[in-house]
Amino acid sequence: MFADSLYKTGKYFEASVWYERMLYNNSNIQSNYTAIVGKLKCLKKQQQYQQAADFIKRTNDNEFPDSIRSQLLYQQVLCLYLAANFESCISQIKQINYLYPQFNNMMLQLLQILSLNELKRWSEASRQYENFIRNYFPADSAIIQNPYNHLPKLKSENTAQWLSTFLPGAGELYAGKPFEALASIVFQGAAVYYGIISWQEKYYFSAWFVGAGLFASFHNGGVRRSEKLVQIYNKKQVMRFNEKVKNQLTDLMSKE
Amino acid sequence: MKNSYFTLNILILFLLPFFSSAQNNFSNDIKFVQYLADKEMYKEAVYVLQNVDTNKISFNQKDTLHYQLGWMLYNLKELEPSANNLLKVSNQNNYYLKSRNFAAYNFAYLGHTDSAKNIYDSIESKDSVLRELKNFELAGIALLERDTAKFSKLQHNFTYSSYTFANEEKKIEQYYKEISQFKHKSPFLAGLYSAVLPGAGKFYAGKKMQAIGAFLPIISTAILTYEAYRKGGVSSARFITYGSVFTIFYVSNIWSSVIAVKVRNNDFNKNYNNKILFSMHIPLRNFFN
Repeated sequence: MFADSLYKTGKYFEASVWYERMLYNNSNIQSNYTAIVGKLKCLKKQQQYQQAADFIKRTNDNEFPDSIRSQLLYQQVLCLYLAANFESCISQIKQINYLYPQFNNMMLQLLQILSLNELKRWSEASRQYENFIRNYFPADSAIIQNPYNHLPKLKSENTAQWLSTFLPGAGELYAGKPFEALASIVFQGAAVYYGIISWQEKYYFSAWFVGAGLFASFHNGGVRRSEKLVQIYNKKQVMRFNEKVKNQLTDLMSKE
Repeated sequence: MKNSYFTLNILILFLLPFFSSAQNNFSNDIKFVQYLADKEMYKEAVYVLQNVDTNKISFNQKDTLHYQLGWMLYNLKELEPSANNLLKVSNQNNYYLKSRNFAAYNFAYLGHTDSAKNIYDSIESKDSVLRELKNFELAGIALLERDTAKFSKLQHNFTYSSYTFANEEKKIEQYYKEISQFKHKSPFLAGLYSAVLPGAGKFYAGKKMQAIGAFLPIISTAILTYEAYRKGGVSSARFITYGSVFTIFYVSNIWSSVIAVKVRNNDFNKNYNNKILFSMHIPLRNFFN
């Protein structure tokens, strides 16, 4: 088939057009299924995950037997997850569970847990995780530690701001960046020092405009920076936790 | 003679299925392109059209091919290749007028107003509505070129009678009035004002907050420089440092005031060009779709 040969040579866009043409010709169910799978592979190779999910949505899956429909719905959910469209991913899984409970499987549940994690909806994720272990790994359920018992401890942006306001560098230190804290102290200290020296030498304008002005700038910058650092710290913690859950679940599934 | 006639007939009979197959292939291609366009898959449609073997299709089909290619490229906002394809549509094709009008619009959008005018010059409109449409589009182009004399001449032909562009005729007239009333400010004066009073040039350019933002640091550095000069003299490190900072701020402010006026004028022109182009576009879509 021409589309397949284009796909094999890495011409994914061209191949996807020919697969679309197969769908347009609508000759029989088998050929339509081949076209859908082919086009889906092309879109995934081009990392067009949202387009892939939209493409499955617009295909007429009613003509296919249940085994194929469940595969297509799973691919749609997977593409939504890969497109980082987590809300839609969860909503699609819920829709499948409601309309086609027979299609619910391990992979859909796994994607639901991972999507909930990405949205930091950990209490829902924890419930799903427990169900998942109970349904698919009942033998291990006693020994597997629930990672949601040790949720990442996130730091407060407000605390960091308050610390930096009253104690230069303390916000950065709280966010886990001692060198940035030191730099903040040095810059603010230098500005204050310059201001005092200028005042003593009777350079009053220099003391105010340069000394106090620079101090205010460094101080405000320090407050904003400590808030940003806490955001970065929290993001890393969340990513680390999500990665841990992901690894634990994929390890379990690979053992099966 | 009879023999050669017979051979020719046999040859035609032999080639007919191939010719008919090429015709069918093209017709299928066009149907597939329509299917893709309905799904807004214009990039895919362009790929299909670009792969049509032009040696195997008739003159009329080539027209269809160019029209479809031009239209799909237009939807992809690739206006120059779109216009070039639309211009290849011959006057025997049903889409000739639409192709010409949209090719002209594409060129007007790209700022090639001379090409747009040349296209309209080549269109002979017998129908009164089409004539008025042409007049309206030419008036739009004149306004894009800020040729107000030509615009007012063309404006006299507005009848406001066709529902497809009566509203746009009124709007474009309003734009003409607003453009005529707009006072272009002088970059030279902006620079001069800022040299006399830091920030004044920006105030003149209509950027009041920027004016205050420029005035305060320049005055502050001026005071610092003066203080350093009074206490330490010309050769003191403080005077040299603050003096340099002041000079940089002062000169930069003059230059940025000049730029601010240019930006203001450009923003105004860009904003009105977009409005004019939008008004020129609506009648084309109403009339030809």
